[in-house]
Amino acid sequence: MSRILFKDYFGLAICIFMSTLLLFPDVPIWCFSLGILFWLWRLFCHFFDFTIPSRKITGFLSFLALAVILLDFRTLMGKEPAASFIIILSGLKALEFSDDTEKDFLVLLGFFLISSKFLFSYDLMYLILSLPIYAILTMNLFPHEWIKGSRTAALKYLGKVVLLAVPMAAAMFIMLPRITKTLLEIPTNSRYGSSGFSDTVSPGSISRLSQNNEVVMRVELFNNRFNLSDMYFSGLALEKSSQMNWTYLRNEDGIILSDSPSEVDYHVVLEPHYKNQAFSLKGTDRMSAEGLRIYHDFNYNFRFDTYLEKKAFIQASLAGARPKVSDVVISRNLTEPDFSSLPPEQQTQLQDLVKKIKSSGTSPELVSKTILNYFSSNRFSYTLNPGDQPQLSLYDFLFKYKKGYCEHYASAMAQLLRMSKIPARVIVGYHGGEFNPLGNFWTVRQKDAHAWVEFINSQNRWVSVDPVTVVAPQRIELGFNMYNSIVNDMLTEEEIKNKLNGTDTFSRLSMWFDSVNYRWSTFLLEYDFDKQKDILKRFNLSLGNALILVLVLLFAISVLINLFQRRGIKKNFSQLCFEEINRWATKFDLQKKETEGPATWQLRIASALPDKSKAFLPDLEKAFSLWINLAYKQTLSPSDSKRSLTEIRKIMKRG
Amino acid sequence: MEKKWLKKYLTALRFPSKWTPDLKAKVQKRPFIIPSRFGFYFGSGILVLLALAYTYANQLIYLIAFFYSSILFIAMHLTNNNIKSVEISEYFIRNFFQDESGSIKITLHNNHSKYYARFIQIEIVDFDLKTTIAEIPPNSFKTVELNFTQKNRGQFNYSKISLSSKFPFNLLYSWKRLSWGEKFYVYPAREGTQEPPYSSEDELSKKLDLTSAQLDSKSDNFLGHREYTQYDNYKRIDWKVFARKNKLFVKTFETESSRICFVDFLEFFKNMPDLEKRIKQLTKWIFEAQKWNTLFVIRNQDDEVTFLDDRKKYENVFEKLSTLSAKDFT
Repeated sequence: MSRILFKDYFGLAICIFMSTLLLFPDVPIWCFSLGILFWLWRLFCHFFDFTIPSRKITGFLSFLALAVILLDFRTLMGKEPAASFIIILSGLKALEFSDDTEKDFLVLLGFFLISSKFLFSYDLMYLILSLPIYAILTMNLFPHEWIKGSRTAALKYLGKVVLLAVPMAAAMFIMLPRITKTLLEIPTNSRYGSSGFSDTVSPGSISRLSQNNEVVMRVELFNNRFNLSDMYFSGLALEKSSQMNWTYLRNEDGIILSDSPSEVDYHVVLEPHYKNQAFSLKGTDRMSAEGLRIYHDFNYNFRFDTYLEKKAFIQASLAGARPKVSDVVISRNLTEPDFSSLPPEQQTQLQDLVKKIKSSGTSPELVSKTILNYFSSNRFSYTLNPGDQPQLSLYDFLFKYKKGYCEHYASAMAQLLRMSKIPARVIVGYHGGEFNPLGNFWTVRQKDAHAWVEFINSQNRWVSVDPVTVVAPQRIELGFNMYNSIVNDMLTEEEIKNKLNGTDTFSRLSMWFDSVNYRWSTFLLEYDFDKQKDILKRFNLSLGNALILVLVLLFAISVLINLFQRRGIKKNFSQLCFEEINRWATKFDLQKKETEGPATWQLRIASALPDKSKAFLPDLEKAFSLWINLAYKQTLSPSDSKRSLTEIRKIMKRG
Repeated sequence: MEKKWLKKYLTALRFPSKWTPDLKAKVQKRPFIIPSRFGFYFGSGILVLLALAYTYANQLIYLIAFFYSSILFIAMHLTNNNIKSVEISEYFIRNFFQDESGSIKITLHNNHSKYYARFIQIEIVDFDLKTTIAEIPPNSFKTVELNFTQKNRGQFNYSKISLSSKFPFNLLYSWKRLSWGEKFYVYPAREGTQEPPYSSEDELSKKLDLTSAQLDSKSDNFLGHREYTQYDNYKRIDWKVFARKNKLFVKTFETESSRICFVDFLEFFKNMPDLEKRIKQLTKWIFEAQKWNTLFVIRNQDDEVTFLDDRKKYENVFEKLSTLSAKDFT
């Protein structure tokens, strides 16, 4: 019994195990480990012929797991507790599996397991991985003896069923009303954000993301052409500082619900990051997303009304000039850092530097320029691996180490601006990305995370300035990916060219896949209820009519299948012939006896109807001989049988 | 002459076609279909997926739910059609003895010209018998034999037959039932320890006032030799064999008349207190007589003498014994 799962249902076991593995990033590690532990337990039982635990034990364990999940998540609703419970339950079911009759339940759990992955990700890669799993799970619904005996026949049969099901599913997807609602009442406990940002930035916190290849968003630009160096996606404006650490400051800058853009300048497909930040290009004035509300403040910092738990399809528009900044914002961003804890000589050195900066001019633009010059002329260097230095002081960075990642320079520059009485803040977000010429979109990854500075210029408007442009201009001009390749991989000039043009096979392949993945995601996200209504409107169909149409279509398919089936069923021509002759005979009060053969019956008819039989006898004999042929000649083709039947009908009509 | 040949041919061929549809058999009904238990779980699973798609505004889950709804819809037709083209072409229960194994022969016919019928479950409803036929190719027959026992003797109706299938996905259960108006007999058990009531030809001819010719006339084909017993007519001793083997042997024929079993029905049942025991004992004797080609003579209530000298008569007696009750003697 302990061997049945891996011996007879190996494919099923592998499928469910694979589905469990796919859910690894989405559930708490303890749930995942527990699920795997049950699988290992089962493997142990298999190899060492150990007794598998009884149902009472597995039942108790499942209740225990449910209780722990409830304690951990404080709810059983929501996708994470559900996925966690299914992982544990499928592990337990695999552990106790001892009978063919339990197979179906295991398959059902497998369906739920693999489908729950799509609650967390739309990624095409997962879908491709899940297709064979779905196929094997569905095949396991067939009787086991059949799969074992004729695997090829079963596979062909499955293929036919899938071929029939796919167009039907597509028709239902297009025609049936797919209303959706984000139930805010359902608590979500997503504690595992994929965005690298929190509300605080300290030296090292952004550079940590430089090795993270995870996709943050894909951006498609329409009207404006952007150079790589202009692609700044601002996420958070950090206004509270302490030395080199910057934190988000809660403010009263107003909460305005963003209007839908009248003309869409760019699309963003934002991956779920379990935060409420929306990333917008410089100069964005409107943003909207289906099923989500986006707010902005007076300074056009965009935020979602909820934590982003699923892919968001955002449409946005750009405006020319930015509005003027209010006095409250100015005074808030003038707060100077407190250096009282520094030794007096360090304080003096910093004040001297500020004086030096201000000496060339006090206008914000000039001060900013002077600071950039200071960075470029004092051997400041850019490093991809500065290490985690949350305690790094401004003095140490400016006078001791003189090297850092973007957040070091942004923090230092914003502090120097504030010390020069110019309101400034640090912006964190992403810069650049990878352009996909096949799909005409930009892919922004975690490693493109960036920090830069905004200061208020002489016209009281926020202006962006990036100190990295002077320290490592290639980082901004070529983007992080290329810069990293140049610095770390020591690429030759030709290799850099190839990489820039995307001509090597691997790059093209990866671009192609990324492009397909992007189209797939946008197709699914775009194809919502509104789009559906638009399409139906084009065909002059209301939702109710579409629903009726689908039902009629299903009914028609049903009838067609039945008709097609009936065509194949052989008619019992022999019986029809008998009925025909019998019907004729009853007119003369003659009935075939049960024990009578056709020949005797024919004789009896002939003797009972002497007047009629004289002329009719040859015909009657012919009819009987046709009937005998039909009844005993098994090889008679359907068309021949039909002909015989018609002949008999004619004869009987004459008679 | 030609007709005679044809008649023989026709009566000999009973399977697979019948001359006439069996009048007693009801018309095979159309199949019915309902979701199986797993089908209910599966359907609920689709509803859960739809609820998740609605809650999380997830179009992909919608797509998956629709795909599985389509599978369910297609499965409905496949399961229904799997049973639709299958018909029962033969259903036969041979009469058998009580407490012994009887057999039911069922032949299914898949009259579809293209499709296989797969995993057809046959259920003999009243006898609680089930079996599954894994596959019937298009336009083919499959025969199964099921064994069963009956604890009581008597005449029984052919049980209803249910053909069902959950093929291919075990999501739906499709079935059709049909009644078969035939009857079969369960003969009394062959039990008893008493010696058969053998009589000699002379004794019996005196008792029943029959001529020796009447008793002897049934002999025809020579079967072999067996040892002489006191009940055998000495005229039947084969002296040639005695000369060779120095032992008395008698010739046996297909219908053995020299060794005759005789039962006076009324007298026999009067002397034995337990009716069931008496019936079983008598059944055993008659069966043994049939087996050894011994002539069995019965005198019934109306003083009629019956010679059990052909198969049909034996069967009639067994059938009579199957349904015999105390009422028949009052």
